[in-house]
Amino acid sequence: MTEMILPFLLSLVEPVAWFIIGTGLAQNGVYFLQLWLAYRYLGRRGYDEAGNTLWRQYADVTPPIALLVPAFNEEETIVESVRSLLALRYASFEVIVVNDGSGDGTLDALVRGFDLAPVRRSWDDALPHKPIRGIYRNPAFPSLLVVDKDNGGKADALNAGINLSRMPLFCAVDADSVLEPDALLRCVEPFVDDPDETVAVGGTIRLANGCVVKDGCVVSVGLPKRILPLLQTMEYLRAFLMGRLAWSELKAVTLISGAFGVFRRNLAVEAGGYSHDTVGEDIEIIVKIHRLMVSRGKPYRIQFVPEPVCWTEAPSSLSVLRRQRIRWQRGALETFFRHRSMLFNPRYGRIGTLGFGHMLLVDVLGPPVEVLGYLFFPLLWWLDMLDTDYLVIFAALACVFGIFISVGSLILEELELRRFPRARDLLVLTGIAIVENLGYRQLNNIWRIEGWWQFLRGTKGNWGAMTRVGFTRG
Amino acid sequence: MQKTLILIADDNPLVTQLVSHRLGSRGFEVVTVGDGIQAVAAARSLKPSLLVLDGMMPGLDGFAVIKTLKEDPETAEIPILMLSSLKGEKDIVGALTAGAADYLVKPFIPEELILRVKRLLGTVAA
Amino acid sequence: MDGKAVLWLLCAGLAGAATLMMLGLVARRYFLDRRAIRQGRRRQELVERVIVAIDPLSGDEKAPLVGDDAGRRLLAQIGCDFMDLVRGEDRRKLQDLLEFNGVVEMALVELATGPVRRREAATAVLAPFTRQECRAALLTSLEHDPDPSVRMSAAFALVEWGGMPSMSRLVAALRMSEDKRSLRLLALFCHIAELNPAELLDLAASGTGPNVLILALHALARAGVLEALPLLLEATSHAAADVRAEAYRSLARLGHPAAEGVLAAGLDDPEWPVRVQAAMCAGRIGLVAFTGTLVGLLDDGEWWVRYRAAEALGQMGGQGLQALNSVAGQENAAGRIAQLVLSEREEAA
Repeated sequence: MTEMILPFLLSLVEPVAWFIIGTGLAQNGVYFLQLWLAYRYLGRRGYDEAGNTLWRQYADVTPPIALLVPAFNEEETIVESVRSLLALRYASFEVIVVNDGSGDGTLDALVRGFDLAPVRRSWDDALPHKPIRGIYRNPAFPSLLVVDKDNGGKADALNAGINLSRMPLFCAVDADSVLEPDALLRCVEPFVDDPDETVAVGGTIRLANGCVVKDGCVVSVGLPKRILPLLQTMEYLRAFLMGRLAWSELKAVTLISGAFGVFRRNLAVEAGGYSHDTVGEDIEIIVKIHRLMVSRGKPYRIQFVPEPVCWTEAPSSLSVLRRQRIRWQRGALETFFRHRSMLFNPRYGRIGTLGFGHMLLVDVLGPPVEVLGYLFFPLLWWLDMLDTDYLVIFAALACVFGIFISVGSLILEELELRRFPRARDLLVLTGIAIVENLGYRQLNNIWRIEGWWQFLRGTKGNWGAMTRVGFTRG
Repeated sequence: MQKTLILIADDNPLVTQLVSHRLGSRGFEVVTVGDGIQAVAAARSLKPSLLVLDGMMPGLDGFAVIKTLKEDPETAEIPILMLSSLKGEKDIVGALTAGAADYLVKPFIPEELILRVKRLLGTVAA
Repeated sequence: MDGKAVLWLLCAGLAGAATLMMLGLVARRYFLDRRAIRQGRRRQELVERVIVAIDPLSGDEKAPLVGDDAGRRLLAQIGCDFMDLVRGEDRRKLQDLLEFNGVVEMALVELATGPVRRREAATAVLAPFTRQECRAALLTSLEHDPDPSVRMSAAFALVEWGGMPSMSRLVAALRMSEDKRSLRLLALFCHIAELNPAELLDLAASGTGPNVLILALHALARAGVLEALPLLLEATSHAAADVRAEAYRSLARLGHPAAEGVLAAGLDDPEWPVRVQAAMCAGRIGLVAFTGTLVGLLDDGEWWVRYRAAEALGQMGGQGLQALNSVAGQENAAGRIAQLVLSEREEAA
């Protein structure tokens, strides 16, 4: 028996090794390509200080936007958050807070904070959601509407908000994120430039950890002091500067973060709104919009705005971070397999080849293959089938590639946006680019394997306190 | 003789600098702040004779500042001159209804601002 | 072994490149920071001096403030910012100040030969200057600059501050034949409708593409140009539904009772966005003759139509409100929307 199996196993060693190496090389190749594309995009766009000019010339013609704020157990902070949302710089917008059956006093806090009274309001029953218990407002805050509904999850709350909004665009934001005062103005720019083709716009999200936030505004940008948020700062830079811009450039955006995205209301409705049965409702809706637009056969664009518009607090404990990453991984897999017919399907053009191809490589195959590599090569070495030198070289190469990609993103940030105030911050981030390869990256991949496992077992999701940001690498 | 104190609230430093120079060089004492929340705090603590107020500011916008100040008996009497780039009917009527004493649209004529300030203070002759 | 050496070299190369780039960036940052501090100080100093120099009471606008191009650029920026803030004597003195300090000359050169960003900035600097040379330079940019954003800002400068070319030249320069519905173009049209409506009327009447036509109608109605009425009435039977919807929206904005003659068609349009706009138009203008038709729309298949029809009935008051109240008793979609709109009206009152 053994005589049969052993040669068979041995004959497998080489193909498996090459498969792992090939996948790794393909991933890194994609990252290099993304860096180049992002660089090209930013270079063409140039550094933009046009905030004020924009406001002056286009304030009258900017389309009205409904800000949808799903809230679940946010008693402590909700009033403050809503106050800062109401103070955004934009000609015409309304804030619709959807209390998703919170167990705490979120609704009471809002009613007291803004002196709200129950009202009746007619709404479009375009999307399904759990029953609405009441609608509240105060004539003194004409642009604020608070909706109280039975608990149904974030997607459900957003659907209710879409139904109630009466504006052509909506912007889904998290209750706990901090927006730049001209966030809406910046993100509406693609709609201003090309209202016919633009169907959705995503904004860049950064970490609020380490920044000074005063009265709902980021007044000074800084790096977090603790290691875990610092490591995530690097991930956010990579995800938004390199990943999203590259996809935007290629017209194959597959994700707009749930923390901030502007959509055309009627298209979101036609696409069926947010899906209840996934933890990745933010990827899911973009893919649904892609499908809808492809079926219509008209040109369309999903765009990305490189300037930071939204600041969010990153988890600083390992257990919360682990849950977040498991969730993200599951959401990506759910969407990928639900729409797998789009993969390499010529009907879906770039989104099928590039968008889904990337998901296959980075989200679906990436984590298991990389973890397999962690086990496989040391095993070969232990069996004396691999030179010590080669083992070290493989490890070093994996690290060096990782460092190079991170440094590439830092260069983009520094050349085009320069949001970190001190030269020292750059050095710290360079250090992080090295350190993240020694432990953090591996930990992330293990979490993603957990996500895979949960996906396979079909564990049910609950209300996501976590917002996906979607990193290009674990 | 004690000088008349005027509070200027605007998030654009060019406006605060320009207005405070013009009013300062015409004999007024001037304090400037950069947002709505500071404006309310300064109005309460300094009790200025007049407030020159911007419309759109981070934190608390000009309209909310008017509302807050008018609700507080301590500050309700401070005349407010709105100096805003919002030129819509709703904005102007809204601000005046909420209790602003006067409204000037940017771009404005600085001399006009000075005269209106003087009139609001009842010191045109001075 | 050769393979190993190559791989090691690759490793070292990538690591070295990354290190070098980061070192370079940090050094660059260090110098940029120092320059930014110097520039910030200089700007602050200049702002203070500009404020003093343009004071109509005592200022000296002929004071030389800067002597180098970097300084002129700073001054140009400050000048643009103040141009948006002040009018009257202060602005005139500011313009003289910029002239005397060579800012205008510099902008003329940069508009002709600078990189894109500089050219765009130069259009903003030159915008308020009415002397022939500046107008001519802006016109040249409008027609010949390769970059669309420079052309667009030149168009704004000419429309807002005088010297606008004929509409046909503007159309050609901005490549409007491509019929893109950009809101930037709408903003430009809004200015034109205020300042020079005849040109825009001609454009709308000239059989332009539906997208540009929509923008032109919208801008004309917003500016309250009554001469646009025949065009709007005609547009209500345009082949494109978007145009028809915009025609009713604009008629509502103009508030002219002549809309009555075309409204029946709009309320019965096969496309719901057109029905929505027609219903709003009936409500805005208060055309009670359509009470019956609007009541009929209360059980339209599309919520927006039902809602806007109910809202329009409410707006009409009297007869409309009466109809709404009587429908509100029914136990169906029409009754529900009527009830809700009635209670919304009460709360708003």
